[in-house]
Amino acid sequence: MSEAEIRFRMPEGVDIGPLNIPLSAKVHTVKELVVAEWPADKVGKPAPDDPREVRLIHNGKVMEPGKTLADCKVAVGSLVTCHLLVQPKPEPSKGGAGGKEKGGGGGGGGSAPGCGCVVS
Amino acid sequence: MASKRITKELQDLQKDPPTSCSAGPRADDDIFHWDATIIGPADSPYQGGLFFVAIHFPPDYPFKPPKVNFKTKVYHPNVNSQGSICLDILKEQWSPALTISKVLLSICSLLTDPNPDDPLVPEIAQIYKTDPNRYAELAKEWTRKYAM
Repeated sequence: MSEAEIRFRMPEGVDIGPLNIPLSAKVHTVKELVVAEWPADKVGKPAPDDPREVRLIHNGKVMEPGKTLADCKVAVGSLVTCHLLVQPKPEPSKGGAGGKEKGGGGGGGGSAPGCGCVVS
Repeated sequence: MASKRITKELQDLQKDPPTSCSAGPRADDDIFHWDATIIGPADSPYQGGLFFVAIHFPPDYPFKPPKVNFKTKVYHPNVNSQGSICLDILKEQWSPALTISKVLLSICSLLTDPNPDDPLVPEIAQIYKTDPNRYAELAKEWTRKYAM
């Protein structure tokens, strides 16, 4: 019923969309959608294998996978641009993951798709 | 005056932001405190990192510059351990014609091109000047550790 027109902007300077997405959609679903729409020829690299490697950013905050677009304060109707960053999971060869501090963002590592730390 | 101007900047940012920066108010009821993110520039050792930034607009913005701080640790000659940024346009070179979008872009440029002659962290500036490969290595390591 209420949708937003969202454009996804990548650091490579390529945009995906705009796509019309209901505000009730969860962020992890949106990531799957983005991977499906991936313009590999324009980006110059293939879509990530795992949509969880995609990080979406809106309003200066990482959009947490379990939240809906409405939770992330995406407004109805008007064109909104989100940022899209692919952060592959750290290589398992690195043993010392303990040094990670608050504020470095989470979500990239391990098997916990729900984790994403936003500094407040 | 300040809030009207900040609202206008927010609208412009939401519609058409720079490719590497995102920003918006932290809470609905306070337009003077923002969160922002900067994506590490591709041509720098910060590539692939996501850096969090806090912005505080003074009540007399845009006549006074915004306060901008890194919340993510950055290995850089012009950013100290508190996240303070040494950048002329945030101080004496501020102009009301600048916007937060331009400020964030300037910070991106600073990441790509540090200014070791006006350092905030002299030790890092020294390494940057004398052993650029070592600097790049350490900056990459911090990016992996704190910004991914």
